[in-house]
Amino acid sequence: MEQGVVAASITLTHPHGLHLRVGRDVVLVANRFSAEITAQNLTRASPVVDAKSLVQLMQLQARPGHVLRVQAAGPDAQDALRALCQIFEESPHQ
Amino acid sequence: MGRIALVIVSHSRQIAEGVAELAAQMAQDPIPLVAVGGIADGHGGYTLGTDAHALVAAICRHWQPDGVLLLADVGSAVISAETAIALLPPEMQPACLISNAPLVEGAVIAALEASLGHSLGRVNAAAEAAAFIVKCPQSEG
Repeated sequence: MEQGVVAASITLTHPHGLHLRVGRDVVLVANRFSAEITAQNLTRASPVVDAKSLVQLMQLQARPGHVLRVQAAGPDAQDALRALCQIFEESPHQ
Repeated sequence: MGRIALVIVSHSRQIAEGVAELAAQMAQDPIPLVAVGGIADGHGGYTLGTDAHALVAAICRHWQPDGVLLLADVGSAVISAETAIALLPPEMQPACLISNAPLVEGAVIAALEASLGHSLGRVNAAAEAAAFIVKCPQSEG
């Protein structure tokens, strides 16, 4: 992987998958960082989408149990990825 | 940070208020957001329909110099929105835009984009892109 690029695979555990509230949180958090942040639904082999856009995140059609790959590239990529992973760790309880 | 206002327009007061309620949940901070729906029946209630004069009042009350995006349901809601804009003072008209977005999905996305401080054009583009969201997957992964 290129320097300054980090990625993580996240399995959706919430019964509603990537539901609206989590999607909102992803967009709001992603927009705090300058890094380019993308997401892909590996389970559906979806296109790679911009995680700063709710419209694009909706294209992932992510359901419970689906695996998402979130990637961040840029100076604050590490912080961005950490913040986004935290959303998914907390989402089953929302 | 600049901020636009959203006006939800529906033939039904309940629909307008429900959409506004849902959209408001999407914003990271409260945004200027108003629901205008139905026609006052003079007895404290509302009948189905749209009221351009009520829209004018709502736009003026929630005016944002960065712009006002109107999201409407169908048919005459758009006509009422057009009439309302035409009734505004000339200097306010260029900052008002009627979205081609689907009402619910568009409002949800617009509220999120507006709360990020995005411009009127950018918010509207995101809202209108909602028309192309595929809700039901064709096949399960």
